[in-house]
Amino acid sequence: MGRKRISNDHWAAGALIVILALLIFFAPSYGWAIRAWLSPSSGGPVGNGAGASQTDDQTLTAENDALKAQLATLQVVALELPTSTSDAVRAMVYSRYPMNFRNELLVNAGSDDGIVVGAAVTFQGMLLGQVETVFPTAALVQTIFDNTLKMPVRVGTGGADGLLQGGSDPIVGSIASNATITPGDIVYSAAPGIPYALPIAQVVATSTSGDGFFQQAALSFPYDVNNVETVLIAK
Amino acid sequence: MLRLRSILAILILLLACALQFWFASAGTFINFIFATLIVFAFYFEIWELLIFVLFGVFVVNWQPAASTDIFIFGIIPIAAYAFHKVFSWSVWAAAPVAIVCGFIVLYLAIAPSAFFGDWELLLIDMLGGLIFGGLIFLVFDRLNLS
Repeated sequence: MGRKRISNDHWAAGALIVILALLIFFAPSYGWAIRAWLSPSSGGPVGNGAGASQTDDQTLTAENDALKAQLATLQVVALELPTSTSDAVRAMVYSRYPMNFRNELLVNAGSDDGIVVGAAVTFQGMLLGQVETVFPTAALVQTIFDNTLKMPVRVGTGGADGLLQGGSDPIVGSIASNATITPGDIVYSAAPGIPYALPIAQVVATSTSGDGFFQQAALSFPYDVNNVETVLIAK
Repeated sequence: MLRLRSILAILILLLACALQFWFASAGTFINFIFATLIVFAFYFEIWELLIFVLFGVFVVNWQPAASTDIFIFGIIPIAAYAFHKVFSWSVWAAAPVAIVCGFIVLYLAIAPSAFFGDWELLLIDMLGGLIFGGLIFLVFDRLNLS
């Protein structure tokens, strides 16, 4: 009896292993669904918080506040929803790189939608990254917050050349020491394959590089990459 | 007992997933799932461990293709299992060593630049993994599930 039980357990384990392996290779979207289910929701329902002991006025006030909060949430979502144009495709973020070695997003538009490797990806009109890998119905986007990203950019009205170095706190380095850059200057794209002058970030502080030959600029971004849910991909 | 242990392990793995994605959404990356799988290597047989590793890979994989990162993520807990079988150290000594070594190997293999250039990330990640792994040990030890 004991041997039969062990044998059954092994069969069950083997079957589970095969099923999981098949899911990993042929239906990874179910994994993303589990992930989405386990992740904190950014736009969940707003409770009104009204207890039974509250008066009608208090209940109405609470409901009003809740509705206002819900409206604000929806307005934010609406702002994040750009419409597709003939030269760009709107895509939703499926999943994100799960560890801290890279900063990549998987979006739901791929070669079937005309997406190609190297295409510019924007969020609210700002350059967020570049398409790294294309699948038929999805694409992997390397964001400017990825440690390995390096991209030529220009800074400010003088158009000083610099090199954007990705990371959790991206900086622009290799700026000529005689270039005039000041906090508040806009950093914009100047890389091959990407539309020229897409805004990327704003300079918040400048300093001299470690070797003393160049200037570098610390940047600020008007969005949190962890909350980006939709992007536009250039075709 | 076997069933209780397996159900508890599934719940712990789901909790690790939830914690990892919750922290990630706040911009902090702590590899709770990886630490959990390394700890499981000391409590489960290879078949059970394979199921948990594949589940972890299934949830963590972020793209519709195989990648070196995910392969390394999955193979290290299996290596911890082999380590446990070959060297019969006490679980209390071997598991923290395995977690620390696992994180170091993970960083060196996937992003050596992060290991050498941004070691604070590794420390936070490893510390989070050690604490969570320690809690799993406590649970398994208190419930006498080894």
